[in-house]
Amino acid sequence: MSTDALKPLKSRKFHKRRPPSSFPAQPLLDLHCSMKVHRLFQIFAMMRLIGGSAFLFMVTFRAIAAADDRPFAIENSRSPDGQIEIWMQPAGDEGMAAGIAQIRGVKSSAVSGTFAWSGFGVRAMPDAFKVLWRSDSRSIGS
Amino acid sequence: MTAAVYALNAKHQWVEVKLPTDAYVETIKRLSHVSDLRSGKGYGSPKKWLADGRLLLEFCSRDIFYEGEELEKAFAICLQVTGKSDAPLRVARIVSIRLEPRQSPSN
Repeated sequence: MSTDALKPLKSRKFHKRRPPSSFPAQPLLDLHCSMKVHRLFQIFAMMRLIGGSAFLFMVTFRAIAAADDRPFAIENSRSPDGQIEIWMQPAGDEGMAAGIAQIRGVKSSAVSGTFAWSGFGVRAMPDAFKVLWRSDSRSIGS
Repeated sequence: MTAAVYALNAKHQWVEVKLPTDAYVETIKRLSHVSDLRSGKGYGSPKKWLADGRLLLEFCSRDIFYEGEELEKAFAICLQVTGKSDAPLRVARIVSIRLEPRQSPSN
């Protein structure tokens, strides 16, 4: 077992080392330390900036993605009797115009049928397709 | 443009009435004497529902020898999509195809 740990601190070798007398050890050490601290602050600030930007980007991206995921009504899709309309639930990969169209009751929001839709573009839009209802179209239980 | 037809069946579910594909295109080509259809499969814009529950579609021809909109021919196709007691057909039936009079560009 080493007895070095039991020796008084002053007797240790590294405490015996002294800088050259002509060398202004303390001020340089201070300067060195302050530069280190400054650099650390710089890195920290940069990381905060990058992190903040990344966070902002992530929040914006997620908000846009969430907005893209929300179902919406297809324009002019309400049936002649006003009972049913078509909604689109966007689906599929990002940057792809696709989704599940839902045949919904206007009052109850009950879905009485669905079909997959895909088209050109980067996302499904309210004017994705046109609906031509037969005059006697109806949805049972809507 | 492509079209899709959905109808309520006896179980009150919306089901697709498939449009005829290859046979449909071949029939249109044979009857219209065109070599190709502008919209590939030949499904044009749905125009209107007729009183007897038939669907009228319009499509344009695209002849590979005569490119140009002024040379395109417009056709009206009448489809039967429901059968007895208004039950949806599995595949729509072509009732008729007729050449539509082309409007002059000045109109």
